[in-house]
Amino acid sequence: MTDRELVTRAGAGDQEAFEQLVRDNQNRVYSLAVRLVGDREEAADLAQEAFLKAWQGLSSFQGESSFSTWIYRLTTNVCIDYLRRKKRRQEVEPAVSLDDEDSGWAEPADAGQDPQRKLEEAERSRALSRGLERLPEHQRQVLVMRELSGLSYQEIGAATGLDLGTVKSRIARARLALRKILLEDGNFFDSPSSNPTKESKRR
Amino acid sequence: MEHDRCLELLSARLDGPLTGGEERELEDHLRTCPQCRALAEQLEQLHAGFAGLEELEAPEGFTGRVMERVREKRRPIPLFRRPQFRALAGLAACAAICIGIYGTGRWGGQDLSDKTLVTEQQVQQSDTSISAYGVLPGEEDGSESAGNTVASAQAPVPQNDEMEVATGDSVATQGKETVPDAGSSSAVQGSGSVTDGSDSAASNGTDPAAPRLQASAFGADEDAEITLTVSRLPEGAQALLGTDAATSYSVETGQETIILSSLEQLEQIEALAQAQGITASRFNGESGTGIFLLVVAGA
Repeated sequence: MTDRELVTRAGAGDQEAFEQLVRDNQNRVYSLAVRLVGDREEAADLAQEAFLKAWQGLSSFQGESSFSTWIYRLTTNVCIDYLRRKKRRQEVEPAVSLDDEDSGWAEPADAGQDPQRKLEEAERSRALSRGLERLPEHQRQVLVMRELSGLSYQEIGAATGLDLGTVKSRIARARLALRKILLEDGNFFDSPSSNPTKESKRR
Repeated sequence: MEHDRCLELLSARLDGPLTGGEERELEDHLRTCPQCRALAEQLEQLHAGFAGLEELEAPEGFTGRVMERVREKRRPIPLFRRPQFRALAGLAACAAICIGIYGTGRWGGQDLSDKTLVTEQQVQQSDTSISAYGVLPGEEDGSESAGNTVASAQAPVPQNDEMEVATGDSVATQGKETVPDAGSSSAVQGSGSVTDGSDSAASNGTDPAAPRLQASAFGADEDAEITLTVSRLPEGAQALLGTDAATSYSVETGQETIILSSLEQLEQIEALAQAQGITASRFNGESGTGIFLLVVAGA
């Protein structure tokens, strides 16, 4: 059954069709929530909430986009709402200091001692995942929305209340910060020679 | 080219094409700046990395839990576990006051201010989230009609020095309307009902076009997650509401009936109303309260 057929059936109240849609999308939705909010337990709740919203809104879902795009959007919105509430509740957690030249360099990773280290895709993927977690929340959010949600700058601006220029520069800065984190991590970029910073010479 | 500028162009290029001018500007710079070439390469690797970013496994039983909650929405929850049960005491208190108002209207010549003040205190003591109402009885002959006895939340206090203002903090702040001259009828002052209703037109709820106002005057809707107002109860709705004690709880104010219901019931009744061509309007209040009200605008 195609996505569209499942959506039509679920919209008419077919729970089995909806269950299939949940199963097909649960990992993507959960991953997105984890990366947006940075907390697995919270992300699981938010992902559930997103699916429930989808269930309630299915009858009005016009099918302008695919279900997976739509549920991604719902998840993004649910997570953003959560982050806003959280921000109101508590002071913003101190972000990883990206300007601190010494951060992350004192304890070299084991991989750094292995000149032959083989960067498997899985390891790079894990490194990227770790790096994302270390990004300051405001940067991680927009970058994840861009790279994982696939939202346009306009859409990110609408979701976060930021103007286009801010979205654009924040994404650029998030990439720069993530690059730095991953250079420190040492398991993502496969050619150390392309690292132009002084830090690479300190290895 | 400044480093910031280069970074922004490199980043923007990953997300979509640059303008011709920007592209040339960037390329010219990259030709002469090895640092930025390295940056460009790394940012591209980063961008590509997201495509291969592993999906995390949703927790065990995730789909099952979602479906459980989907089914929960179909199944009535036992009465005492319903969050909206909280509202019952408040609604009951409101009902008591409505009866009092009705009485005031009927026997407007009598001085009931003492009684109504007591009622108001009881409401405040009832420790519910439903707003309390003070009753401002007319001075002389408030006996014209029962239909006039419930004024809107937006009605200002009649200018009458001899009246006791029962709820000092409750003067409505928006959408003030003309009220009958002091003494012509009694008025209810809606405490805390100022959250909405600026779109309301009628002051006494006899206009079915403004049923929302009555809900507002009744004061519960500010706590209700969703208030669905229907011009009349659709066929089949009674069966949906069933014999459940909580759902059959209702308050008749003379102009309308307010029924405490579940979200599921509201949604089904809304669908019925639409199918039967009955006017139904939904008002979304504060979310998360778990209180869902069905308002049937009466004649």
